[in-house]
Amino acid sequence: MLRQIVREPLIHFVVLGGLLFAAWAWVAPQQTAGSGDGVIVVDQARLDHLKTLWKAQWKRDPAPQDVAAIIDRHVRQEVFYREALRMGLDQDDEIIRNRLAQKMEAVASDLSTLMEPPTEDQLRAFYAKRPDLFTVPQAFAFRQVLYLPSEAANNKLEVTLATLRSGGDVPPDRLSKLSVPLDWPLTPAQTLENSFGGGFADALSH
Amino acid sequence: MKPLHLLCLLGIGLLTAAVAPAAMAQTAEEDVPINPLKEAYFGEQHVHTGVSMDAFIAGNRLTPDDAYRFAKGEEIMVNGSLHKIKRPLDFVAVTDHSEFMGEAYSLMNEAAPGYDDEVAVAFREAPDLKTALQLYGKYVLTPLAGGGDPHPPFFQGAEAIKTTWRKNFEATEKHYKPGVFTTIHAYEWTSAPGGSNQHRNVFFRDANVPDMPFSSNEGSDPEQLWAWMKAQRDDGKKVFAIPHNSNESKGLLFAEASLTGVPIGKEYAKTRASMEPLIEMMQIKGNSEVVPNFWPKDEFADFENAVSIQKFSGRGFVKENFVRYGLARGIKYHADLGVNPFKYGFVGGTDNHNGTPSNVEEDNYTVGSHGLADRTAKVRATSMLEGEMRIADMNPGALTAVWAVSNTRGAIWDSMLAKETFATSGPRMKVRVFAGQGFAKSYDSYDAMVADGYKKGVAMGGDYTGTETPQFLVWAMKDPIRPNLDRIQIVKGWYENGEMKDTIYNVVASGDRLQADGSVTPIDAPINMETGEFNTEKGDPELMAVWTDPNWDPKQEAFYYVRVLQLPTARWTLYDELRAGVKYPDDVKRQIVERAWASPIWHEVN
Repeated sequence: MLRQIVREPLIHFVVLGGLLFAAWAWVAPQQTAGSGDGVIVVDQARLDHLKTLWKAQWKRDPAPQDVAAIIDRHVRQEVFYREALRMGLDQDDEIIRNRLAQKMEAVASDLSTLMEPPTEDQLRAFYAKRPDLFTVPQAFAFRQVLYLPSEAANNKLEVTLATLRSGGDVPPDRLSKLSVPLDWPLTPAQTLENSFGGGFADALSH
Repeated sequence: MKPLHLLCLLGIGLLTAAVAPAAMAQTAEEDVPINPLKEAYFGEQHVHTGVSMDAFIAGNRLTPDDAYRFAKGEEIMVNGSLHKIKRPLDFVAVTDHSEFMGEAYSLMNEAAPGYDDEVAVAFREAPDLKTALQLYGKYVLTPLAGGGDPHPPFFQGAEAIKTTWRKNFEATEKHYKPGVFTTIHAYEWTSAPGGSNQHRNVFFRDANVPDMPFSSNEGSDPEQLWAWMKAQRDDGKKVFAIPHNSNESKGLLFAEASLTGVPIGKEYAKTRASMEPLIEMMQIKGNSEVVPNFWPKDEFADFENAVSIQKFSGRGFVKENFVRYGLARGIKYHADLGVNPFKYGFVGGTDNHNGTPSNVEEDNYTVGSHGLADRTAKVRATSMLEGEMRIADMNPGALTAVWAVSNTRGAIWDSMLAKETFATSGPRMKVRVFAGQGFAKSYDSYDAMVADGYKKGVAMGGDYTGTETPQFLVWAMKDPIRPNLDRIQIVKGWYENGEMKDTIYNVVASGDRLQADGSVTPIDAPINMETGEFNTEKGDPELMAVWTDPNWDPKQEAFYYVRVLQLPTARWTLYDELRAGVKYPDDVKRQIVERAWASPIWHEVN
């Protein structure tokens, strides 16, 4: 009877299995003990962070039922995350490799930037490259004298220009040629472009 | 310095101080200087971005933020091509459809709930016009006409609507630079019961806006919209609405009864007049002023009438569709009820669905206005805008000008409410009108003329309350980069012995062509059909006159509005033919007379 039992494959299986479990329990470190691993804590700091992320996406404060959903989702994600780590699912995963490498690159370049403050030349180069960050928009103040296209061949144009350049006045017949002002106080280029169009402001700057 | 030939009014400039720094720091609205004589600010009050689901399906991925940048003159990628307008705008209101704002949240935000839904993916990845049109018909046209589920399956509910409205709000806040560039919080209420276009755009004066816009899903009758607006006003918010496309209203915008069939009474008239100061005279889908069928004596009525609208949704033209009829019906209501429900001033808009505000230049209409449906000359020359009209009958859209004391939200909104506005078919001509007594025949300066106009008269959009025959001081200035002006007309409508009547007076014409009998010798200034260039010799850059109504009757209810006509210019269809080698059908116009319409001045008899 005993011999029969000893020869039974099922018994071999059970006994060997039991030995294996016992050996594993003795060799392996105590992972499941302690409070940290089986408990997920959502403290105020964590909740605030989750709410901030949610607000960034939805552009408003979460309602109470939204907060419940945020916590549920977070806890669920944390459970799966921990189980995945325990099963080693992060190993040999291309996406995770890429992400970690990216993060490390960012950290490394941040560090090197911090360790090397920009040089005078770099600052000057940046200043030259982005003048818009350091200057107010162009503006113009000018006086104009209006001639219609049909009057464009008028040789008075040159005479008028010479007069004005030597400090003379606008010819009387031009004073109220049209309802467009002759004297323009300092006016931003965009306002001029809105008023005249056709690259007027750009032409003034050349 | 050589003369600047860029300008048709040629100027020689004398620079006294070039490139000096200007005080351009952000100014608060109340610190912006006031110009009591007012300035004309040009802008857009009707444009859709990718947030409007119909635009999204047609391929538009631009946001309100992109639309504002485009309006400021930036070059933006539109339908796969870089595009910009020639001149920046002064103000913009983005008016996305409120009906589908929730859907936009799922469609446009990666990782948002609903983003990966198969219908949302289909919208996003519609590979061609045909697929897009099928989706558009099923998920936009059908629900907007009042059939089926108003929302596709990926719709996430009211919170998603609030989120999108909030995002539009934030972009609108971000781009507001008081004194420089004005943005207005707005949206479109999109109701078309039985195919009758009842659409309205809704505008808020400041940043005090509701959490969520009222859509036609909550109420498809304008009276429901007004009730909601009333509740907003009672809550301290400042809001008005502007209807558009009366030409597609099946006669129901200027009707004898409310949509529910109740004859229009005093309460209805009061509410409507209070909620709706303005109407959109013209946009991409046609000019709603008049059509030649019903106004055969108006020789300029045949202008961007979008006649193929009539082939869709049973939208045949009736006289009751048109603004000139509506104004006349309004004064008849005033005579009968003591209130005019249709006391409308004028604005123009595009209703552009590319997210490109006031993309109205005929010679720059290279990317169309409705996504995949009209983005190339080839498709424009041969296709229909599904459910709406033939694309060749569309136009780039119209423009709004507002006479305001500053380029700020408050000033522009207030002047819109006061109807001191004019619409143009695209060009930036300027128009002023005053009705009063004692105006001079000419003035030493423009400022003196305007000051006298305000002192002795009421401006466009106002009521003439005098008992003597009114004088009308009218003035118009050409667009600096467009051709000269042909003439100024006054359209008068009145109510006499139970009949509504209207007529047109030529008030002043360029080159002394106005005859003693009031007719005008036609200006012979054709465009160059080989290049599209306009005539630069004829017409006048500026026109001014003081006109007295020869048939004034103090006991007669009347309205008067000014129409300014420009010399002929090439239509966008000619540029497509010249540049892209396409051929439009023979009945399509290649040449147009662009124009401006100033808000009416009314004479009411109490």
